[in-house]
Amino acid sequence: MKKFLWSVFGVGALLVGAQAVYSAVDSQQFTVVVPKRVSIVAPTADQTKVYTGADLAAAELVGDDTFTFAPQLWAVKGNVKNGVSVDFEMGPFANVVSPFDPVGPGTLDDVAAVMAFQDGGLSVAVASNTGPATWALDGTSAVASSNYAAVSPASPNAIVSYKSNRVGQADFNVTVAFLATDLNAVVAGTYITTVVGTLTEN
Amino acid sequence: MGNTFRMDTRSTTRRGGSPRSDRIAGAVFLCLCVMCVDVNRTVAAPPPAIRAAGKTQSLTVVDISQPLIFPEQGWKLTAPNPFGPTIAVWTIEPFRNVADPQIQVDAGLNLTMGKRGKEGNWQVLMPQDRTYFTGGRTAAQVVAGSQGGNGEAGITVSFLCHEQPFVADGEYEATVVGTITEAF
Repeated sequence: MKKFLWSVFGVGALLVGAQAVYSAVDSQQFTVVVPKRVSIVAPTADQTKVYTGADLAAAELVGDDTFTFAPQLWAVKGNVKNGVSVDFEMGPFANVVSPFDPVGPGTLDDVAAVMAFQDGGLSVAVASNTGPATWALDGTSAVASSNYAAVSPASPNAIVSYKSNRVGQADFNVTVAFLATDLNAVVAGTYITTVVGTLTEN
Repeated sequence: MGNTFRMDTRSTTRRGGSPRSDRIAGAVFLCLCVMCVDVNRTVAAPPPAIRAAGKTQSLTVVDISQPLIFPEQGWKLTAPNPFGPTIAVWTIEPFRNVADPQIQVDAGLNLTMGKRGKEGNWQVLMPQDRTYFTGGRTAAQVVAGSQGGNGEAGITVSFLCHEQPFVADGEYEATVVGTITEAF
């Protein structure tokens, strides 16, 4: 029995000695730089509403003549780690008269004189989103109105803000309204306002 | 009782087999065998070695919709023992955002065996692999094997950013670790 154990021990020792493992290690580092990419894209088509005589006649029968434009889709995205903030801002509608008007009436292609203002309404909602980010209203309301008569504080513009917390993309429905209690009391002419979207990284 | 005791003693002596001097000689022989292996290693066949030929590689993502593929990097393999079954393993983990390591991007590995050493016969055993960190696969490995001899491997690393709709900005790092192991 002891002889057998000696044999097993001997063979084991030989195997352990013979099968010693030799190894070596090296490494190489790889670095990738991902640049920041933030973008906001507005619809390209201008939106226009032309009141007809029938509209004015119909306006006589109702107490609120506000006209709401079709929602416009804005695309916002950013790969900033902490997300982005987006402000949609719109001033009052301005009745403009252009003394030099090569493009057409009501366009701001040259020096324009403002005849009158009419307040506008701005409503912004998240239509869809993709990516890890959560998009939330950054403020108290998703609806705002301009106030051209504002003096103190002098902040006539309507502003709605959203923010995200991570990387991602969102499409926003931006809805503009031409606020008019009585359309027949509105000074005739062409009124223009522009929605401006501003994107900043958090 | 006394006779019985003596018989057992004799019997035990016979089963013990070799005298003490034989056992010592056997043990010395085994030690010499083991030492011979080490002597051969030291004198005739140095330990295997692996070395990355390139330096740190850095790229900037231009098109996030496509995988970012680094230029192939050479690795030199040295396995001097002609009787030693040898394997080389390269491992990479997902790229991690330096500022926030929780943000990861999967990595891919490709292996080719380029020039063969005059004694080498390296075979690619696992040519490609990738990480898939959302599925728990946090390491990719490629493997080459040989019966000994020198070789030169080509390792290609991929930054699989195109699989994520959004990749946070910043600097990402990953390290390829190459290990060569000789089992004899």
